[in-house]
Amino acid sequence: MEFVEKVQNDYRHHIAGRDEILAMKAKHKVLASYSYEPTVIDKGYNSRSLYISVGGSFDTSGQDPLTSQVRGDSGVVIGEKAVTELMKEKFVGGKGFDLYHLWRAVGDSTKWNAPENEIVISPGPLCGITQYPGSGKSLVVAISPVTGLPFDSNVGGYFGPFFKFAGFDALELQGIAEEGIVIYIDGNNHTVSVETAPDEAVDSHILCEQLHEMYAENDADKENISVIATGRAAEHSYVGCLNFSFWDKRRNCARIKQAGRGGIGTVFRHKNIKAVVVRYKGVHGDLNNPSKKGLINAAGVRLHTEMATLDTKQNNMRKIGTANIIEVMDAYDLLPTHNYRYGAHPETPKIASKVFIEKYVTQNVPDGCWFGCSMSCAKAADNFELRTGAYKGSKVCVDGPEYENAGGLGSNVGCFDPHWILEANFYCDTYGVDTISHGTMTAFAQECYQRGLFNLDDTEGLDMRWGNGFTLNELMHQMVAGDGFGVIVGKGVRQQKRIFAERFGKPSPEFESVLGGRAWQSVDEPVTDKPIPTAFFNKKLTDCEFLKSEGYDDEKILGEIKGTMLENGGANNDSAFIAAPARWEKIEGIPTISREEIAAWPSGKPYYSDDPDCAYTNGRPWVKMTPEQVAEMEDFGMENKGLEYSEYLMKESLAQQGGYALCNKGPQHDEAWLIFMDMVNNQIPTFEDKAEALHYFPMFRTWFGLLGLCKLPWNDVTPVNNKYEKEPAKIPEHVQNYFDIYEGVTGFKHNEASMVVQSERVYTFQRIFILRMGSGQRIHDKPPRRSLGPITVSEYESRAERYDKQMKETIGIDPAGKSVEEKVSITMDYRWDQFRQLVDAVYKRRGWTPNGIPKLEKLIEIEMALPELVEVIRPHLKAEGYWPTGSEYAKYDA
Amino acid sequence: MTGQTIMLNNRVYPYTEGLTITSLLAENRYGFSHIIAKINGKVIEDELWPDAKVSAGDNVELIHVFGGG
Repeated sequence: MEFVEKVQNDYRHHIAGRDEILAMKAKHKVLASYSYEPTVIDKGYNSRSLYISVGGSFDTSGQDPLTSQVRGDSGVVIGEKAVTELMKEKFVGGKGFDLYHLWRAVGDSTKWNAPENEIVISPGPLCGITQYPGSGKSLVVAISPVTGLPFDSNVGGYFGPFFKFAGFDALELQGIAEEGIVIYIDGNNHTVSVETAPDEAVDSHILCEQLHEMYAENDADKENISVIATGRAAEHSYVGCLNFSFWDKRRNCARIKQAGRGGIGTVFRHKNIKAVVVRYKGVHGDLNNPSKKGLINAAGVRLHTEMATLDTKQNNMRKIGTANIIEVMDAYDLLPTHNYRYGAHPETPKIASKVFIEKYVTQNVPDGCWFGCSMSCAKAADNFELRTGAYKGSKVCVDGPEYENAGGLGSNVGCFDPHWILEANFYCDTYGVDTISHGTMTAFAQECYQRGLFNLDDTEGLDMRWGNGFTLNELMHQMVAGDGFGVIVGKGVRQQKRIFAERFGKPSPEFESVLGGRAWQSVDEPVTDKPIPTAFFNKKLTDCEFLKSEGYDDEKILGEIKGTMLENGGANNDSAFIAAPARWEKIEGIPTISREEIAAWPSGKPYYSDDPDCAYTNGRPWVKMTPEQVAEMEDFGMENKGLEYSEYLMKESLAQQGGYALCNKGPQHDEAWLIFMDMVNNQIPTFEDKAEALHYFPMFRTWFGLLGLCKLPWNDVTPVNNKYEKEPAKIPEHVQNYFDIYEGVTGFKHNEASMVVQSERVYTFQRIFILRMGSGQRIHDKPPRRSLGPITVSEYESRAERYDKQMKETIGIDPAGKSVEEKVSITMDYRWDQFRQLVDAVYKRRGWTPNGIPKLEKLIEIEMALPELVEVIRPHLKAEGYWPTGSEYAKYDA
Repeated sequence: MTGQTIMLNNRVYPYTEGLTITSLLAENRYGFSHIIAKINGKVIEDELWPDAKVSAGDNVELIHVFGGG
């Protein structure tokens, strides 16, 4: 009771009273309103989707026709489309439906900020089950600002199920609104409206509270509302996330789960959509109108029993969620540290899961992000007092930490203070920034700075050394302001590389004088990390009683970090800034050139120009870096296809190097996480074994995204008898559970082979979609050099025993007498060759050519030789010599 | 006895007198909570690990069951 009273009192201060909220609503102008006929879901499908254009003009001729529509003010259109049997058969739902609609909405060269770019959201045919844990996912797709390609992201929260129960299988959001709007879907009264929303907040923790209050009939009704929102940083960064809310009646506040990756929140803000709200009252277990309810119930009972009896012995998901693996990753040298240089750090115990459990995250509160999820892993830190930013001093509910937040906002940026991790976690969420990208892109900027690639003028005094928690948050405050170095960081690693290369070079000696004698304010000298050895995880340090007895309160931890980090060239953590350089006045005589002229402009010679993708500048004349510096950044800028790597060190697992680089959307681990199978268990020793794993697991995980399911209940608890299975990594009993609930809802039996084909259709479709948009070939799957191994002396020396042993026993070269630089070169040459062979094997297994193009024979095999797909692959296959001969293929050559 | 080996996760590993599943886990710092142990293909129940002796030439599997986030 004490907990409930405390948080309810605290969180009520976040928003105005109900009268003020209703006054806010009274200012809404309804731009369009649409009434629709109710449906009864049949075996998981409504068989129709909802289309909304929020304004603007663009070509819609490629889209499926609207079966009914209304046209309102400001160019707003609301209508319905049919979900066809072909869509169900080939694309299933979820991510499949999303990609189907997006393909028809965009052109080959559509950019993320074009009005025709769509955000498509689909819950999938199994979404909304309440009997089986993890059945409330939505899948979100759009052309991404960071990759320029179709991108998918999955998210919990109540929106997907409520939207489905409101009567639709997918939501298309197209166009750009003239002013900030809210879309309201009333699933009980069967209406959809697009309304101006002039006074509502943008930041998610406020806006979600406002809208739950605004659209609920009373306090009890808040539970029947879900909101999609982002935040103000999404206006200036490319890595904006979407937050999907659910009402936590125990805490009396809105909780949020994130479709974090790929910058879809940035697209959302660019469309001028403040929020999408859905209301549905009347949830019960049979709303999918399942075919065989008994199968679903039985599978649910099995998994609930496992959760009740096994979780505390296995992963502790109910206590701390995914953050249970922080110390596990450290112990196996997999926790990304200092921009993926290392996989462990002696200070990791300070951010171990037990610290979060005992000091921050509220225990014994059901934290499922959809009804019926007994895994209950959506943990939260309550009454968390913020130290910085717009909400400094506020006590807030932080949704987290997830493991990725601790890795990205902690070890990877050298920050081992749990408070700063949670503060950055909060601001990422409410401002609408992807936590994973924020960690990786900050780590990249830190390493650039510490290598002396740019200086304190360029950061305007921001302390970019490892471990400064103030800076970690200040970067986001600057993204909100649209001013400061944080704006550049917020564009992501790929854009940072381009911007740094165009602007932050050092003037050649002959041009130093034109800068008016202003000194190059670098760090005293480039910082080279002392090699950080493999840390043998000290469990004693995770004992909170021990921490307390040693005086380890927050300030003590801060002091410890300060000492250790300074010793290793790190930040002092007193402030985000270590200098306050004045902004530059324009210097006469320095030429202004167009963007087209930049490519041929010499390195070292100052110039002025502009940048439509990043208008912020501190006024210092731009100077191009040398080609060597540009190449240096390519080595450790941890992105592929434009997406920042997620937070696992992959250097010692060839399979995971492929799992990242060969992922359709970019290096996110939700296609495959094979590190233990490969590096530790050694279960997939050959290239063919790895290729098989890089086929099966991406297909299995794609399947979750087609159906609206969460991956976590699959293998974050495992049945007692799993140890006796032939392939325990697959968790065969749980796979059978999924086949059972699939049959239970749709009535169709499934097995591994039919499941794989179902996924292959959508997975291959996405690959061809990416190809259509100008990527999707082998060159685009090339990873940064650091992802394959040690690229610096300190990285090699930190694990010298391991790498020397590998050189001698695996490569067949005696390391004795060789310099570290030579050994790095030998190791990396070998690993590049290994990666090349892996790619060959994976492409072959997936039915692709050596250049990564899906073969026509593969499309025919999986019954996806649709004319629009064949048209895309045909010229590539012909150019590569893989267009098949034979009369049976003639009809595809029209 | 020097020179004798076992196979541990399909890799050659030195054998020492008195080797058990528990001691192998400790030597390799395998502290993950969810490991399947097998000797010559036979599952060894967790509670038997301290006494589960490993002989020279045995094929030992210590399979970490984890599939990432």
